[in-house]
Amino acid sequence: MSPRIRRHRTLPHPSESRDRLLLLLLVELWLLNAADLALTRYGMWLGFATESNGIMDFFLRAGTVPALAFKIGIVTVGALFLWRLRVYRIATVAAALLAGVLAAVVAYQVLWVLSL
Amino acid sequence: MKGARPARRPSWLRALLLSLVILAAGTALGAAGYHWERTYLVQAPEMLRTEDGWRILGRQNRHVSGLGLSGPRLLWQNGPSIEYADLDEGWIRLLGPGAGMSATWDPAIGERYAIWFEAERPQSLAARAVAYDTQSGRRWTVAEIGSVYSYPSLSGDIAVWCSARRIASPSVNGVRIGSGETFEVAAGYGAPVVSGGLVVWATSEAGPFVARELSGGESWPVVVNLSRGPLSAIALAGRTLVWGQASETGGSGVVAAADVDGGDTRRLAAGITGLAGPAFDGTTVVWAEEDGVAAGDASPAATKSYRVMGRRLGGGPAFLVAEVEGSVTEVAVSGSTVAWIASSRGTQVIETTELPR
Repeated sequence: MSPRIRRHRTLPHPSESRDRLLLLLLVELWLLNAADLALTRYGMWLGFATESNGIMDFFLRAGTVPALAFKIGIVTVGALFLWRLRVYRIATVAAALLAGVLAAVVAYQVLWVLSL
Repeated sequence: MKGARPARRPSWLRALLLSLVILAAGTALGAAGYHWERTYLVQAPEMLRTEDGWRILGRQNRHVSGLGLSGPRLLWQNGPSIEYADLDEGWIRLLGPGAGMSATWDPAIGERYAIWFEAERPQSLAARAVAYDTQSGRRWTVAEIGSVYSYPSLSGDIAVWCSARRIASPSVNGVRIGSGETFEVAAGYGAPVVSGGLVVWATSEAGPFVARELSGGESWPVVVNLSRGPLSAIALAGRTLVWGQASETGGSGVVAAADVDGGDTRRLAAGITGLAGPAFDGTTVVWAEEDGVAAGDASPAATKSYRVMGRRLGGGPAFLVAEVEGSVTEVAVSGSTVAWIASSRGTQVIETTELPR
């Protein structure tokens, strides 16, 4: 191996405190995801919203149940994946970023729906 | 180890508080983004209380037209936006255009529904009629109409307009908004108005008028005495048709009314300059006319002033509703409320007031 190439390996840092934070963030992420779907569906029912995500639009056109199964399913799989990686700090950072961004999206949607 | 901080005991409460701080930061970001968008991109009109009504100020200096009033519900077109205000509650909503649409035409509003046309571009042959239910707050595409030849008129859940599904083949068409059932009223061009099941349309910009009963299907020419000049507006309530006509000559404007089943034409006002309207709600006819040069003011931009006039069809003389600085381009009336679009020094405002008792 060339001496210039150095391999960085993230070291596991198990922490029960961080595990608790990660678990709560993943639960909140899951709830925000369900709220995002409900608000999008309501906006579309009112006739004022369109889904700009092509994949999600495909499932929404197929019906509420397929859309619910896809959206909840993919976030559940992602949350389980992050939980499996909980010994790494980056998993908690990623969950915090995702929860913060989704909270911003849901807050925007709530204000927008209230303005209709 | 000397100086090392003792490890904190895991705490659910601390974890919950930290996660809520993260959510609060995201929520604040989303709310800030929403308010930034409303303030700098959407720029919703401002609604200000006046002594006996409202003043609605657009913030983007776009062309305002298509004023419709039904009870406390006011609807208009502001550039490509369709905007809707509740005069009782004091709020404004943006109803259109929908995603991907950049062209809209003057809307119409009735007791429950509103309707307007949207298309990707003004010359589109694929415009669609969009309805809005003021009770449920829903909007939906109610019909594909082809190319637009006239604005819609609405009464109850029946909307009529003139459009062409093929090039240069216009016809007067309609839709029942509740069921979505479309129908053709008559072939050929016509700018229609509807009241109940009765449709009346002007066959050219200067008339004459033709009426058709939707339930029975019979149609007949409406015999009225028309003066010279293009029609400024027509309005129908019950079986009474009200119209305005004015040529480019000053003092040529006339506001008149007649029964669609026949009878004398009644002149409600004549000798009008700068006629706008009329509007008619079944009881009161409202129009606007130029009031001449303001005393002591010689500058061309500031000299125009208008007055909004009313006359009750049941009897009595014409009366002054409001004096307006600048010019008035459209009027609307419903019950005791009158609304108009005023234009002064390049700025358009919508104002409302109460009819004098």
